[in-house]
Amino acid sequence: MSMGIRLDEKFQARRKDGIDNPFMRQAVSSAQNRLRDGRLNAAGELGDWEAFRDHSEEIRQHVLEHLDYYLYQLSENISKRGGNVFFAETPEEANRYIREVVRSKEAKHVVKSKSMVTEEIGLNEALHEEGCTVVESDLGEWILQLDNDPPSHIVAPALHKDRNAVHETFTAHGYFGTNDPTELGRYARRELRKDFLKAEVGITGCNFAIAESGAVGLVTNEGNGRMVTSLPNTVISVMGMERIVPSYEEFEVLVNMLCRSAVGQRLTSYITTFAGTKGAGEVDGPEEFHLVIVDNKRSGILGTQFQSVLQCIRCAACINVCPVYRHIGGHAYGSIYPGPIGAVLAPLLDGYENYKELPYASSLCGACTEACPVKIPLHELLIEHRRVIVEEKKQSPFVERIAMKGFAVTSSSPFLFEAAEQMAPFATSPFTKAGQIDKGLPAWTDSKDMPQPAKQTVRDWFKKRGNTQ
Amino acid sequence: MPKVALFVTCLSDTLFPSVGQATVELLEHLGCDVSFPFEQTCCGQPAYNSGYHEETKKVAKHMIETFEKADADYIVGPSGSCVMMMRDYPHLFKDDPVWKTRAEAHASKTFELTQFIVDILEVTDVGAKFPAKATYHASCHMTRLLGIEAAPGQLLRNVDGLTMLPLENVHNCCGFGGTFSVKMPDVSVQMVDEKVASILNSGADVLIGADASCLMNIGGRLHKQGHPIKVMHIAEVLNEGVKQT
Amino acid sequence: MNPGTITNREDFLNRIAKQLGRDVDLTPPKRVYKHRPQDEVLKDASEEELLETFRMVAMRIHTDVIECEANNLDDTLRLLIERYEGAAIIAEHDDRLRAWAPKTSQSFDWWDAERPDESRALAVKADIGITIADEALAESATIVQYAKPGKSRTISLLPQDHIAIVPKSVLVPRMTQAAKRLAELDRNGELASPNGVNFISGPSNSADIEMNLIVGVHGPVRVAYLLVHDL
Repeated sequence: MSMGIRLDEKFQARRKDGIDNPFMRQAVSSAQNRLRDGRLNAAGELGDWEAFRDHSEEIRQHVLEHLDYYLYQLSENISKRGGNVFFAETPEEANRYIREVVRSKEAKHVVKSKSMVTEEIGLNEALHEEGCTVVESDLGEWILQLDNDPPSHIVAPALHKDRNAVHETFTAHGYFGTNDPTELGRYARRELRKDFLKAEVGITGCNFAIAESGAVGLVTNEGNGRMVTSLPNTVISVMGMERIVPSYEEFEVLVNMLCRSAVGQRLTSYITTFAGTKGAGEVDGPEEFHLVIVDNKRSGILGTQFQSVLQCIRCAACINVCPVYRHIGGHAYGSIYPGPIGAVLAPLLDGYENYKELPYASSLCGACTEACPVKIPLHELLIEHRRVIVEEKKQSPFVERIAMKGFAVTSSSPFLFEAAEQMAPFATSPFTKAGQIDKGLPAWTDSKDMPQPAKQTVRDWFKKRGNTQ
Repeated sequence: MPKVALFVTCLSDTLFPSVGQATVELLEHLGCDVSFPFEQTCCGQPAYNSGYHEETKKVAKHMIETFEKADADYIVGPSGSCVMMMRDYPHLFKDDPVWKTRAEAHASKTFELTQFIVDILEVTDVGAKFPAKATYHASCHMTRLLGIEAAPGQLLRNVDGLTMLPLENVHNCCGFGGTFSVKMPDVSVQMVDEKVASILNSGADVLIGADASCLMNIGGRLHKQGHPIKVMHIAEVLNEGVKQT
Repeated sequence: MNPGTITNREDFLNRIAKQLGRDVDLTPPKRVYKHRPQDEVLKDASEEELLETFRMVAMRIHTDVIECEANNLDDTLRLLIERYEGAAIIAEHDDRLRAWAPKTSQSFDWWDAERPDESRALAVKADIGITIADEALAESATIVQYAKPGKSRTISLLPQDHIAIVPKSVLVPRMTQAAKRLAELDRNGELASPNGVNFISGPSNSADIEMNLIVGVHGPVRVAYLLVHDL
């Protein structure tokens, strides 16, 4: 499945690649600090941030509870506005339909704006098979495309690259300038401008579709989303089926939360909505419009204990505060959705087989849950994944299972528990130096010491002294 | 006189008994009638967070029964993390109305130590004296999930002679995370190293925290690397100078 | 307009409904929300406070705000174009612009709906694109442009710089008010909201290289709001 990137390596090896990459870690850590500060400032300026979170949560919950109605309404309204709607259960169905559209237009040049769901379904590969050039027009995505590198962050996909790496990539493409970011940006502007003007088909993602208006909304800063939707004659938007709001009123609330949570802006430079084909007398906008609504295992999440993950608006606030992400980087997750949201989502979209270690890649510090603008209880969903792996899939390690059974027996028996406490100092004494355990449990003692269990526990002490009142 | 059942927590009982002892002495100093339900074991969090919820329920039932027998007004423990687990018991029994009710009664009278002192006893100056330069590690479960943010600071501010220094990136996790620290030690150690760097930058001689688990993690790293920073639980600090009275 | 096709909908919706434990329900759900914090933001702000917010936030997003009265709009626009060193100017086809700036507008190219290809080529080469804002949002220093017959969505996008004329009367506190108006268009009429709406807040930018702000990636490098007080 195309979602899997670098799955040939084990998670532990991928983590090590991340930890051993000082540039990436420096870049991620400084980006996290800036994005976190930006988000907190933007949230503070809004006033009652918690009320906005509550409202955003109730909007998203309402939509999920009535998803069939809103998708029906959206498709009716898009159709009325001259657009075609294709419901795709699988990535294959979605790709097949999009290939047919591209083929019917005899298109050779496709230009895309940033879209996670098209990464998820592997659309670019499918279009290459169709013999098209596909150009990613988001600056970060373009850099990665030139370098054949997967994204490491859902908002800032090339976060792991520094200006020298970008300079190298651009130079290989034909650039002669310096590594100054603005100059690099101007080069991308000149090059991509040509692609926008020559493309027969434009493909976008969808931040939120607006059911009542039959419109698709895009949130961008660069303006590539506007280019892609106003220049090519044919436009195809691809959306995950849950990325929908009832009306412009809810759209506004969630766009506000998205901009503030993702990049700390009140609004990004461009919030663009477009509905169907261009109207009578309009001079630009698509002559042909297609909306592809993708399920790809999302419906299987509805009605389950994981339903709240579908509230996600892809702002990456959880990624931007996650300490595990900070140290291992986005690629280590092996999924296009990294960080806490990826650790919850990847096993649901693509099964436990490749992703069952991700729910354990968290200290359960709760920073993700606290940051989430739509109140997804991310760290609780990670625990729930662990429970499913243990109790339903029965895939937890044998030794752990035995240990936990033993823990339960011991901890529900005061006698055994106290006996274990009494034994601890003696059991650990061979590993002890000056009151500190410094070896014997490599996963701990290789990096940290631990005090030796006390000969007199608090309960012994209390038994001897009694209640002094 | 409020009747308080001590929820000692495993780590404090076995590895850091001075924390449990300080908790008892401090609560008594503040006028509580402290009992120690000897049948108590562990809150069950290691199993819960690892996904072994059936096992956790067994442990939780035992703890609920034990503390019901203690018949105290309050259950108080020196750990935000363990208290959070007990506060979560009702969630564990959401499909079992009888145990859910018992779990709710249990959870509603369970408090973290500093929260109990500030919110229930309404005391912010316990009369402690501890001349030192210290910084405070805010543990994630206590701060984010239990929502106890101000109480430790209010108590420490009133400790005679104690200078509290700010800790940069105080919101960052120390990397313990229970079994996380041994399942993914590679990542855990990066996290604790970041925390250690912040502590060294703070200029403090003493690191104070309200969760023995975080302190064991950070202290274990500090000790391994030979940094002469003293690590103390807030109960120990608050009990300094009031012990003899 | 011919309606578009809809494919595979029934199975898709059935699958969703089944997961939700019921049959497909196509009755419009009641939207009852417990919270509406968006109405509280800038609720009691005076017009002057809204203007001040608009100016301050524009500065933050690297956008010039130039203010004038209608009777000196012509000269102000000319000076602004001179400052931006604009030679080739493309403007949206709007009689108001000719009336407001009779002298300055003489040198403009106008978007010609009859000749879209030529117009687009002019826009691509233009130094400055000039548009009139349909609405403006104080909180985020945003201008709003509706897609309309005869008007291109790209005049504010393709040229090197963009000047938007903002009549003060179109200023509202925030996106909440603009969204409400759009929603009402769809609710009262039959899908009467514009086919496209652009909420534009300053110049195009990116932070994709080392989180450095690059201004002017695909769209305009500079944006100015020409705020006209008595329009």
